[in-house]
Amino acid sequence: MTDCKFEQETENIVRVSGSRFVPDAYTVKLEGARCIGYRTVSIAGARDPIMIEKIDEVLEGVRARVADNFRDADLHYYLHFNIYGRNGVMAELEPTPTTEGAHELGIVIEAVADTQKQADTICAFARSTMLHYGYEGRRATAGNLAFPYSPSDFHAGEVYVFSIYHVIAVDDPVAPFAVDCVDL
Amino acid sequence: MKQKLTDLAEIIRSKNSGPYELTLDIMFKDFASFEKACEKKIINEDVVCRLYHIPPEKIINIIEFQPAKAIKITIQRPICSGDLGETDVYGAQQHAPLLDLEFDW
Repeated sequence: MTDCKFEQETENIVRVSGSRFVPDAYTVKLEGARCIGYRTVSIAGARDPIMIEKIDEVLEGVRARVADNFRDADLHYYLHFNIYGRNGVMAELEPTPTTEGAHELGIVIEAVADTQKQADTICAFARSTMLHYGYEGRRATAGNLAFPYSPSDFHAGEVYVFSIYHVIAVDDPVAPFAVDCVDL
Repeated sequence: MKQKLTDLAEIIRSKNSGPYELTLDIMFKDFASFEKACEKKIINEDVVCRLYHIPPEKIINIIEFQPAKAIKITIQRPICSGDLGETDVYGAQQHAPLLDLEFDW
């Protein structure tokens, strides 16, 4: 692309020239995905300043209660809380993961489990626990969360992750792909 | 001297009272504060209208409930609970404006 030129010809047409194909070993890229379970999501806002200040205590407490409640069930689950207004977008990369100055937080509760029903159960239990969690110094005892919708929890369906992401070098680019010709 | 509501009240919260109304609860730490607050009418129509940017017609009532040392304000919700445009189905996070309230004491 080093010698590539982009010239505007008309309002909608650009002439691209100068790109060169530099041959190298022939490679084939393999990509694959697999289903790892089902997801249920709940979205809520928090507007109470003490709740916002104590959010970490709340999240830890909720996580512990969920783990405790389901410890004897044969259940594998992923439970995640995304805190928009703090580090919902950048997670560990966020340079300023603070709630200071935030007058409201957006909270997304996410459960992934082997079946949709199991994900529903984990999400509902976490959401209900968070709504009523008695954090230290709480004044707003009627509920910790503002839900935009009722019902509050949504099916997000099957969850897929990359299972293969690999480049293979081949001599014959067609050889890896079996071709069947069928007369219809 | 200026007094903050948060120094006098143990509980400040909100919740729907039915799908069309929102009740704000202020529960005082002791009867002395509660009685003085009622006497001085620190929670009144003007205060509520100013804090919530609503006209007085939207205030349904302001009640002094002695058994709980509470002043309860009920206002009309902007929309029915669950209507398109809802932001807080149960109305549990609408109390923040009360937290900044200061008055002469």
